[in-house]
Amino acid sequence: MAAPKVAVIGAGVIGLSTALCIVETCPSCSVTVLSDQFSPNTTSDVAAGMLIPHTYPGTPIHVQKQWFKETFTYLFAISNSAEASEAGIQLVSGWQVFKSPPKEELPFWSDAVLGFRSMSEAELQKFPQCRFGQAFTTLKCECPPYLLWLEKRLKATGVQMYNRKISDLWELHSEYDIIVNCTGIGAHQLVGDKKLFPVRGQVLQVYAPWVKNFIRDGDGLTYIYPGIHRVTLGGTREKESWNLSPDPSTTKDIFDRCCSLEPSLREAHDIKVKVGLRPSRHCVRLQREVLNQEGVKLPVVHNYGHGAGGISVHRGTAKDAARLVGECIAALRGSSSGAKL
Amino acid sequence: MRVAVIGAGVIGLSSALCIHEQFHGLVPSLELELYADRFTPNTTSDGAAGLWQPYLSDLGNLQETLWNKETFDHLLGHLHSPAAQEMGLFLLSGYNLFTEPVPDPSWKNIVLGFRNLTPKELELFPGYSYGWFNTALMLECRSYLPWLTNRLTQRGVKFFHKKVESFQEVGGDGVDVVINCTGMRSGELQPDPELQPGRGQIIKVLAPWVKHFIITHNVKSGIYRSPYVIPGSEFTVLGGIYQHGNWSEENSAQDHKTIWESCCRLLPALQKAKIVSEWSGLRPSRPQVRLERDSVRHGNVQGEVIHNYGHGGFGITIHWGCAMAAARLFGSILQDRGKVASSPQPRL
Repeated sequence: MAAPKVAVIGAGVIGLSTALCIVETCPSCSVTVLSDQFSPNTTSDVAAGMLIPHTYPGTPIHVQKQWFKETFTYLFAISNSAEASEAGIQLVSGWQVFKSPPKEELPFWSDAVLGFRSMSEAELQKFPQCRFGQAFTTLKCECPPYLLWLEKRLKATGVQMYNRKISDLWELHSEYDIIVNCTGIGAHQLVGDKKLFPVRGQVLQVYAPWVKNFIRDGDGLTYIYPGIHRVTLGGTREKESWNLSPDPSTTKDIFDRCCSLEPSLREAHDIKVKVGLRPSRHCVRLQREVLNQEGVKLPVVHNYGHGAGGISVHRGTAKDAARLVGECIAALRGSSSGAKL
Repeated sequence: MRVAVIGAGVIGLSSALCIHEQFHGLVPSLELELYADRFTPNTTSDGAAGLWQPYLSDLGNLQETLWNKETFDHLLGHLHSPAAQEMGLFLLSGYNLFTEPVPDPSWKNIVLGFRNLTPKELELFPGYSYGWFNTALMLECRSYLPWLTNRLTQRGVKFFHKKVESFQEVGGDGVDVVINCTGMRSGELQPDPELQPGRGQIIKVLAPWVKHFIITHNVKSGIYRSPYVIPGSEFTVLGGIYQHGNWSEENSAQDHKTIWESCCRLLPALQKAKIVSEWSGLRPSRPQVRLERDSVRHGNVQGEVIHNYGHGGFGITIHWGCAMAAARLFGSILQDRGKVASSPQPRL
């Protein structure tokens, strides 16, 4: 097989970063990105993009830690370079506050972020309802800029991108040797994964340029994340809701919760409301599969189900997915009778 | 009783407010007037980025450290008030960077969350091997000075756009006390060889992705002679110039180059930042702040002056502590004149 033809389905942060990793590890591959949505209309575009991992109950902690560290290291290097602003990568410091001390004293990622420590008494005075808190510095990976930057890098390596809705993976078997499924919440329908479910998140993006620190309630439900131009206020976690329309009473509730953490937000204006469906799963589905239909084989690599933590672990999972693609190629080359009729 | 404040920078306006707040109830006849030839946005204060941070060492000047602390605590108390945004007041975290270990500063317990930098954090700043992280306050004068002006106007303080050439000019005309907050040009009213310009130049850019202040230090060269980056609510200020004895308020192309190149080396992403404006100003530098009573002769009359000038590059940082001290000096003048009873003993 000369140049393996790889189709990556999905152009959110997972699809684009996986495509880039495949290009980096397999220069002979011909990679194409297919998606029915591109930035600014992907789920990733709604996310604030803070590098604060979500814990997947079904994935070993050491694996999640590895994914996060890889992602953090990758983005840290970009934040230190001249490309930082174009790529949408910023360094942000702030606080995670708790009304009562958290169950686990140190989250698994505390040594992966910068300067992690408990908040001092003086710092806690800013949050009268909170008895405990943690201060640290992390990165913010803002989409759309990051997705546009990934698209630019992909195009520079010759990767083609097409707006196309795929209803069945077998649609692609005659054009491509390997399919990489990065369809996020779309996998529910595309591959019939009933273990994948949406967790609806509504956010407000407001103009409040004096907010320079992030503030997050330890329960993860209320947060204030300052971005390049706007501050993202959140949020909600509505399991099994497929509703993509903003809800006005939710907007008011988010705004009130955030104002109680940061009173100056009362002066924020120009509120934009966005909704995203976190593609949630017990564990990220990162695995190879060979589909079989009447003797015809189709290698598939799945990389979806990142829920609330996609941006935090994207590079780590993309590298693992690229490794799995490498294994698919080796398997195809190793099979003497050829992979397909 | 007429009181004339000369100067409408952060020192003049805050001194006027402090005095009026504390004494207008005690002295019903109190009339406050403010004279200045430059008002916001054209004062020295307006050019400052607005970061609360004293110099590295207080040189044993505990009084100034206390005034700095008073200012920080006062501002922190206002942080959650509805006025904060109007005042231009917000929290800002950031980095102080050094090429060698240095002693902790006098203000380490005044700011929030002061700590040393970890090795990983220092990777962000090649060339620097030691540093601090802390959360401090920003007070942007382009908002704060108008806010102070509004408070004063509401209180009936009268403003006069006028260049005052001598203390006698305001003092002789029935004015009982003059508060001298003339900053750099105090020497024109009363010669003071200790007051010298510390010329600074800054470039204002659009770099909204920068969320931390970054202040580098070259301990041998001295304060503000090393690049710094301070993000404001709209613009980011790039600086790193301190020229003792230079009176020029013109922007220098050489200084522009120094600032731009050194800041872009510090934060490569700044290369993409759009330059909005450039400004030069004179820090009113003095070995220590002059905050004391003085008397000046107007013809046959001895007039009272309270000096409050010489705040160098830390005027915003120290302003409220000094304003309160000026108000205390004003109170002592009133006591001396029997205008208010000193407590607890009655005057004979």
